[in-house]
Amino acid sequence: MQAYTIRGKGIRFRPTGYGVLFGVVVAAMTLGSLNYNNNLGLLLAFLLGGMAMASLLHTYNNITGLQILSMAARPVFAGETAVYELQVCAEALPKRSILFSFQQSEAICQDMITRLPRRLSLRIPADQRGWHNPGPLRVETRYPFGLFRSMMYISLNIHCLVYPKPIPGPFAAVQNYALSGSQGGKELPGMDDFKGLQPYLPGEPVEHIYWKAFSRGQGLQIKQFVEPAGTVIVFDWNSIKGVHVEHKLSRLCDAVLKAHRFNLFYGLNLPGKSIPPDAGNTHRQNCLKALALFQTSISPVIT
Amino acid sequence: MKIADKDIPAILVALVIAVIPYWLRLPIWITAWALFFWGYAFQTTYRNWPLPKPWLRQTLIPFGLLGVLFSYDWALAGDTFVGMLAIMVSLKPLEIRTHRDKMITVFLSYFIILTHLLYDNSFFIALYMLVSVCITTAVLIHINHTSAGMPAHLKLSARIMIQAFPLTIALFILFPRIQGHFWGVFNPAAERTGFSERLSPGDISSLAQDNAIAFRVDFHGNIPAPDHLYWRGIVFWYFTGQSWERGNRAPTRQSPFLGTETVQYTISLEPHDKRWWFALDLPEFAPRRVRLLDDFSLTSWRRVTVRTVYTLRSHLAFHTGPLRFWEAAALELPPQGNPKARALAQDWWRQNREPEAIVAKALSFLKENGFGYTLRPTLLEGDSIDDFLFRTRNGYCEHFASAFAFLMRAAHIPARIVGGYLGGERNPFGNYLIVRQSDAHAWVEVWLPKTGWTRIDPTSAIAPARVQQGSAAALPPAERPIYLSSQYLATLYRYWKPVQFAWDRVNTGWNLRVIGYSRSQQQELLTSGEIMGASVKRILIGLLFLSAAIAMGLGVFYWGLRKSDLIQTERVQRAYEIFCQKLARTTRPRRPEQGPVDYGRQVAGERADLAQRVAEITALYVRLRYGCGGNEGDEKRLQSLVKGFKPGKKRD
Repeated sequence: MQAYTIRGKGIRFRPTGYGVLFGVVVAAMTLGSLNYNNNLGLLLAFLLGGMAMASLLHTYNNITGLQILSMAARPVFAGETAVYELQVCAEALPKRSILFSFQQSEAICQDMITRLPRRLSLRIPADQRGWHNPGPLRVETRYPFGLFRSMMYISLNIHCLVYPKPIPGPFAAVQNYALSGSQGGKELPGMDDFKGLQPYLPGEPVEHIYWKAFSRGQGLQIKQFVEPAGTVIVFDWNSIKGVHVEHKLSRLCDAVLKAHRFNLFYGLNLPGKSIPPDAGNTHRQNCLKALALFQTSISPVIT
Repeated sequence: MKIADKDIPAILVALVIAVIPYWLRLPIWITAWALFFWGYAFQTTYRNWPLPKPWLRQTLIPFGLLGVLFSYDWALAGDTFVGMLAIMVSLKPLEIRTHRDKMITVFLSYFIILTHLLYDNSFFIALYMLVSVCITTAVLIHINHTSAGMPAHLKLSARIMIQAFPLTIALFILFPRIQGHFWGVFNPAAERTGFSERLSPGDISSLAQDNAIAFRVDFHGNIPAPDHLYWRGIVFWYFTGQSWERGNRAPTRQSPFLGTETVQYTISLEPHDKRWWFALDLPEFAPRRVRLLDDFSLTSWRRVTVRTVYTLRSHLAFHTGPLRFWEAAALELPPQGNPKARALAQDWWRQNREPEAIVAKALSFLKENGFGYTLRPTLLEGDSIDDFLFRTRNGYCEHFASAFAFLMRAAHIPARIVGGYLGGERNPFGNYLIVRQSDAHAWVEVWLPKTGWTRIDPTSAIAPARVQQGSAAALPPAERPIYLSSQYLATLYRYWKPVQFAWDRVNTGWNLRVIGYSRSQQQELLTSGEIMGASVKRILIGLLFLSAAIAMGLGVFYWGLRKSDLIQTERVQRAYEIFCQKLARTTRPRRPEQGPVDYGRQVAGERADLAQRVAEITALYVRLRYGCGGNEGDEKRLQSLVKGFKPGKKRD
């Protein structure tokens, strides 16, 4: 996404409850001073009123020029908390006491935002699989007096992918069958036979790191296991017993996670969508995404 | 366990500062009460002392309020309300729990500042008000935004205050005023010194040591000689045997009074909570809403509860004409009492019926019989006039005036006592007179066929210095104020006096221009463009200067704020950005994703001549920005290197 800078348009001003109370106090002071013909009292009342007006300017300045550099959310499983990570900074002058929130999240207060980008995360519980829409981001400040709030809703169109909640169950419930054709006879990454050591590349499962070699000063190496060639598994929608769609998805989700953990070569077969067998992180994400978005109508455009 | 709330000490500071001006006014126990509870509230945050239970607070409040009522004799006057406010405010910090409580306490603090203005409108209090509002506002910022320190909040609060000034001044000048009141006023300043309806021995001498200002006078011309500065206020017609009373017989004067030796002057009368207004000798006419009585005293319909400014024209030489029928009261005496004084006066009358001769005889009687001028006269017993004339023979002006008027009436000369002020101090900084309560005086007026009502001041016969140099100088040395009796203090006083005068000048200007700004002046300003002699042009020029000063002050504040508000990393970042901008003129600019080290290498490749300096700046920047912070010296060095960095034109 592009950096979003808050500008004058769309900023809403409201007095807070305290602002209204303060107004009442100043009005009472004015009336009382007029009644007593007390010019110094009037001066005080006008000074307080003038200061409230001047503070409005500060409240306004405190929100304009605030930049939202980026916002992103890692996919989560249903029942977990979606974490939206924002990067914010101030265009020129520092901003103070800015509250960030979504409608359902708790507000996060940043005491001071300077030109240096600052990261903050907003948490919303994600209960349903699919795209989680946090709604517009609400940016609010009551600085300096707490008498006025300037507030802006920003639609950033960022969504969080929510995978189905994995429900553990027997792994055997899926159907095994042989892979045909060109891939026959190839060694595929698996979990059964130890093949040897290889230099570690970022992204490979950490649990495969051969720590003993690391402790001997030989650098990070991973133990490689292979699957006897030709064995792949495909998780099929119809092989899961039950009628409840969500339950089936959860079971499939669990199967995908386990297969990935065991570094298996697996595929996914859903009504209307099938993913050919493969392995690796991207494949896992594709499978989980297919499960997450199964039969959902919402398909947000991600910029 | 309670978590210490760091806002409470700040709120306490704001409250204490707001309440300080009250401490002289409130009974001592209320001050002690407030200090006790505030100290306790302070300890709850610092030492984690337990907060008192709600039932205890709810019991304390009624007890405190009862105590206030008791202290003020169950009178529901202004002071009582202020005392009650103090009681409640002193318990408030102990029940602060939420943000809401804090906000309300801060608003209360503003309210306390306001209530004090009902008592005191001086320039000093106005300055104090500004300071107090600034601090309270800083606390308001503090409770809404805790992380920055109090100094930064004070700065911001002062800045906002300065920004608010133009609007404040505009509102002050243009906001419609009312005449009179929306609702009844209680008078918070009920206990004022000054004259009452009755003059008893000791009344004026009790004022002699009161340095409070009674009024200020600005003459539209030269100040008359000291022996003309008799400020008439109240005329006493009736003698009861012990004291003199004003009575109500004098009718309102129907026609303006004319004499010669006219002087015009403006009096700024301090509130004294009575109806009399003061005037020099015989005023020609009364100001609006004031009656000029036939005895030439001025009374207003309302009590003087606020500072009042009025302009009068008076005559110092005059003839008041024949004695009117109601003025026969000036001959009335109680049927009995003071036989010796009566006999003495009868004696004079029998010897020579010429009134002037009797007056002269009475004055020489006072002069020749060893009468003393003192603040501490011997107590009078029995027939007070006789006792004074023939036994004690010492007293203050009211004793002399009272005895003299009695003698005159006994000798069939109409006489009345006038209470007012004599003299006044000239302020060299503004050429106006300051008349204090200690200048209070009483003298006698007798009706003589040749001159009408004529002023006779018997005190001047005994203590001539009273007229020329003021009451302090006329007293015997032991009774003089301490600053005149001690050599050292007298020197100090000489140096202090000009400061006092200069300060009074500032205050007077303040009172005339700001405090005295009224509906009529507003209308005058808006219609004719003139106010108290100052044209709109002058006011505009003044405002221009003021706003220039404000802009300058703002600039300084703003600059100071920017400097100190940027944290170190930001300042470092800024310096590096400037460095990159300078380089961008001669080499390929830095790409957004390019790190500083990489960029440094690129620049070194393009411009070998700059390589060394670029490497140094880059190394410093990397250490400051990504290392463990670096130290002050590094940052200064980076700033100066960047400042002195001049890449020059690209060479082919």
